[in-house]
Amino acid sequence: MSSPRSAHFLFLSCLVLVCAVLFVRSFYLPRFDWDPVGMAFWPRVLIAALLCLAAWISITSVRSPDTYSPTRPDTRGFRLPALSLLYIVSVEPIGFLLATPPFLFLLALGWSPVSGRSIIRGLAVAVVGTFLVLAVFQLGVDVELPPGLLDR
Amino acid sequence: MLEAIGNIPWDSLAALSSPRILLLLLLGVTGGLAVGVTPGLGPTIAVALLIPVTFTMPPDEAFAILTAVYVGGMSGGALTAILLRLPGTPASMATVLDGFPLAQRGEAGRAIGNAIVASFCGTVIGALFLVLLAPLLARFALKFHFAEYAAVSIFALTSVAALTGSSTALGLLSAVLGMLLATVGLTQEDGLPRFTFGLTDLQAGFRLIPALIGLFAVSQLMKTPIFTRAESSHDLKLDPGGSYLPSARDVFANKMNYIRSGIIGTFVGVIPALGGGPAALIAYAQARNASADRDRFGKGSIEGLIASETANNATIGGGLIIALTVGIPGDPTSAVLLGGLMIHGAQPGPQLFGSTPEILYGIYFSLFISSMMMVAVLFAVGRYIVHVVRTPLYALNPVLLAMCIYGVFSLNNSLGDVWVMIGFGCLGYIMEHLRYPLPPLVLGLILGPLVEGNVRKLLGSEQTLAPLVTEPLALGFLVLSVVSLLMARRLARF
Repeated sequence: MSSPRSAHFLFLSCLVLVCAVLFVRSFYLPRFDWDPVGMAFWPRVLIAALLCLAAWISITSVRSPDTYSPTRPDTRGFRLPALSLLYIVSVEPIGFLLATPPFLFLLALGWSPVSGRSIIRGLAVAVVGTFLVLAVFQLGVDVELPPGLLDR
Repeated sequence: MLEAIGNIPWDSLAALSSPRILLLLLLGVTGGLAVGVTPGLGPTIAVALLIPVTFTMPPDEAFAILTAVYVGGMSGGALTAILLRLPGTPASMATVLDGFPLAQRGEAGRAIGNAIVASFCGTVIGALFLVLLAPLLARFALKFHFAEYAAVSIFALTSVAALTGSSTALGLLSAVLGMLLATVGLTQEDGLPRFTFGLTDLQAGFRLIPALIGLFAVSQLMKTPIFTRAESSHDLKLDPGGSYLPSARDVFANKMNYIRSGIIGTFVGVIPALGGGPAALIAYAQARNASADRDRFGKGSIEGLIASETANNATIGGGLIIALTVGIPGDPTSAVLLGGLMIHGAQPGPQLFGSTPEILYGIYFSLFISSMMMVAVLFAVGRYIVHVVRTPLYALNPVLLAMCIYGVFSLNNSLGDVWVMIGFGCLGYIMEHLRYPLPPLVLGLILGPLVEGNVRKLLGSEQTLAPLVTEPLALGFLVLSVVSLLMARRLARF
């Protein structure tokens, strides 16, 4: 994404692609005699509206580039969801008590100012954070957190 | 109206001022606040958790504590919305828009103080309507059929898309995208999967709370990238000398805003299935439209914050009106509360006014006293809660993310919802950078199924969409939708 405008066009292109996929899928949806419009009717209306709006926004931003003044998303921001997804994938087999402290430790380290005390701070956040989640959800509202390896 | 005041059973209401009930109200409000500030948990869960506890209580005590938890839970979401950009419920979504920028500017105390007063005013306005005009408003709500539901939803979507964010076209695209995302999952009318691509987790569609937390809280956390080797610092400032009491200027300059937003909240509250989120956003859009300082909205406007908080709390009274007089809950919390009240002998329906008025007025007074307790509790603890912004980022953000993950997980014991939260976090992050407003997207998620369901039912029963323009109420809402778009055009925001 070299510039905010190209990022915006990439986003609109992705939307058009999603619309295309959903439009094709809408032909596979069942239709019953008693239903005058069927379950594909509404998504198709929305897809048409979305494509019209995307076209309008694209044309407007080409004709006058300063209309929407987008900014380029910082790709480093996606490190957080990437790390979170890794945690979500691992928490079920490993378990809450074993997977959460390393996850919180890494996050604390990632957000910590660079200094010699980062590791101690990270360990403290890992312990306190894990206990807090356990206290609120497992002890407080009786949610069964993934037991993972400790269940065996 | 005077007849309604004359019918109030003052004797039985005096019992509500007993120390035991006052203590229960205080506990209920405090407990509701504690649950309300926890991500993923809101007033619905707070009331649901409490119902079994009330089984052994006398009805007046049970009504009092259930209502108090409802009020506390609704208000708790405002604190996290302002301080952490974390709306626990859709009702707090509009509060985020101006509350968080105010906190970033170092005016967290002012924002919380005004939110408290606005919540109180909203609850009282809704409660006044409840006691004075409940039968009238219930009749208004019963006029809503397929065409009216579709029209009011279209009005809510267009007014919010047109009047929030920097451009109407971006707002409309955001709203349509929200409605399109809402088509994923089992359809309400057919009970068949649509666009699930064979994934079981998608059969329930994109649930609202994971989407909401992702769009607002996760996207905010993503704005401070991890492992950047730069010293991370807080976006938020804290003014230690700042007052937590709203200034008289803030309050008096917004008196019309309180009244207008309270009325919008009550009326939207009586329409089943809309609830606090749409009410707050409609009131927010109308406040922006009426404001002399429109450009400040979304950047830390007290007017916007007041509109949102007044309207979402006014829906409590509105929701209870339709729940108690007709037996149709206006939102999920009213549904759970209604269940709890019925367990203790309240029979919803018009006869409630004639046969057991003490129940109705007991609930009204509990609502009124609870909102006063809520003000007292929030002013007492607000000074300390606001210091959450002093927590270092490396400690606050990881714990916040973990709370979001398990708050969302706790809704259905499903990690699928957490995937949805993360996905919406990425979508929110990208859309915010590209200047797309997020509230229309959430409103589209809420109202999309309502519009689709009612349009399809209308076509099924009448074979035509003509009632949308032949029914006066529906036509009125559609005219208002066009007016919103024309107004946006006049403001050169298209």
